[in-house]
Amino acid sequence: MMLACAGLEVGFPGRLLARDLALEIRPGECWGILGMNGSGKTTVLHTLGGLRAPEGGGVKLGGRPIGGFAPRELARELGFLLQDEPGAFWGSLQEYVLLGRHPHAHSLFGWGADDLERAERALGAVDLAGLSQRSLGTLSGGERQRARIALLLAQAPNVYLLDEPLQHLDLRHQLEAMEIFRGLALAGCAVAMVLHDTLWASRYCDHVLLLPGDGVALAGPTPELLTRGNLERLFRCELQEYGQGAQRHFLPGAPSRV
Amino acid sequence: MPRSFLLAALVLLALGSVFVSALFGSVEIPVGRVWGALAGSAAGVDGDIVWKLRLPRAAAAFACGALLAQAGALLQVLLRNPLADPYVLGISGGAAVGALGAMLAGAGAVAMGAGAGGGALAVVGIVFLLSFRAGDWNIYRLLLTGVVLAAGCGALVSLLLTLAPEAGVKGMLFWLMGDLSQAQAPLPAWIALAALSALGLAFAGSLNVLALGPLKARTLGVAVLPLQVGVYFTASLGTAAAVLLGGSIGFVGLLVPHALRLLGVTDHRWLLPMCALLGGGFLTLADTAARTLWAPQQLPVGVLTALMGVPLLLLLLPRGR
Repeated sequence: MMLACAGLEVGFPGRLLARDLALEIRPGECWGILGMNGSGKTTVLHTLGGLRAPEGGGVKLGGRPIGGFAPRELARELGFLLQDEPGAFWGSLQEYVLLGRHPHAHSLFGWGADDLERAERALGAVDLAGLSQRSLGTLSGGERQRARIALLLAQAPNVYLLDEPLQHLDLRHQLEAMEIFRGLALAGCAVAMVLHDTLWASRYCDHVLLLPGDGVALAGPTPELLTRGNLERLFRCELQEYGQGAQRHFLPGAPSRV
Repeated sequence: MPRSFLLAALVLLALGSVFVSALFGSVEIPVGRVWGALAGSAAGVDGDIVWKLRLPRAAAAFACGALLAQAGALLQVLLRNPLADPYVLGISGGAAVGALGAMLAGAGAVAMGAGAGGGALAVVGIVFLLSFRAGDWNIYRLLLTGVVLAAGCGALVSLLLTLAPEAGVKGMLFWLMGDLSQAQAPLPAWIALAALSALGLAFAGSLNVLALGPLKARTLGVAVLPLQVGVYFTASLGTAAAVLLGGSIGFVGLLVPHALRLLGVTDHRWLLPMCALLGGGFLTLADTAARTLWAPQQLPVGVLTALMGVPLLLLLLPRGR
């Protein structure tokens, strides 16, 4: 299912973060969203996911305006990994991941065998299979982040919007998470994620959205847009470029006031 | 502990508490005759005491406890605050102002009930109107509005106590501490309990998700604002029904949901029915103790719920995961 927007205006009264934004995030595509802190990455992602109203324009999911979906119907199609989850959940890791099945739930009591199996599989995918009966509150920050990814996998939507999915993760689990997201795209899902590390974007994302925060966003194929010049303007610092193609990455030199 | 085992234990506790309530009182009736009365085979004084005095009182206590425990669990998840109890939003304060105002005016029991009901409903409405913004109901604004109104009601209660003639102060204090000795008509509370239990079960699956925060709940298909408004009014009206029957009985709404969570029950589809059973059973036992420990004098049951509840919760706390 394709997530698309046209003429999208995103921002707050008095400050437009993205102007006239047109995107088509198709099944099988993996998008990286990059920009400095406060440039509007989260706000754009929330707008694309229907969590906030745009200042102008509209978002369509599978050709239908996103506002026209019933809440559960939307949650079955579109999953969201939020940057923060300020809730107070008292249950076990398994109970937490099972909440991803809420949009699919049809019985008042308990979960079906399919729900339990999906939750177990999701926990296994993020390397947490042995901790399913542990209280969520006792997990480390990285384990909790993987639990949140597992909840999303149990939700099993067709479109994934991920806000900083790699936060708190060590290098190995960053790699494993990116492999999971690539696997989702290969399976025909549409994936868009906010990233800070350009290496992951160049290696795993076929498209990028660059948000400089002044309203003029750039969107397109990664090889065309993920260039030293664009990134120096985006992050306002000098960069050194290493590697080629999908191995290309950029390390900062001296900060500039550009 | 498996949840089905715990549920069975709580059903036994609930039934046992009602039986204990029928068994004990200021008049001693042997167990066999209480059984006989319950089975309908004992007529006369025993039957009258059991059916007309003790069981209505047990029914009132059970309904009150079940309402308060469920309302507490609902408000804890709505406000995302483990310290929330049914009175945190000022409902008992409003009821107390109304009830004590009626007592001070020398009104009868009916007017006192009307005053308490009016005060509780006024606070429910005022808190909602002051805190609600369509499209963005900030739960912290709701909590603060409730706490501020509760503080205002507390000051008014102190004023009413100061102005009251000395002879009336004891009755007022009993009402404030929670007292079921005047609770002889539990039917409205049972109707409220049935409604609250049904609505709570309907909300339960979504409440589990709401515990992750309103934004995450939206991404999982929960219509958050209607759910929050529904939970607010369900918990508030349930609390008002309990307060009208038994005054401000403390601790049940805070203790019972946490005790169950400490026993590993966090899924609201199990937690809410279990709250009804444990809250009802607990208050029924506390009320039986309140009317028998110093018989013929009756103690305010709210004092006993705290005296029994504090050690129970302290015992359970180290078990928490």
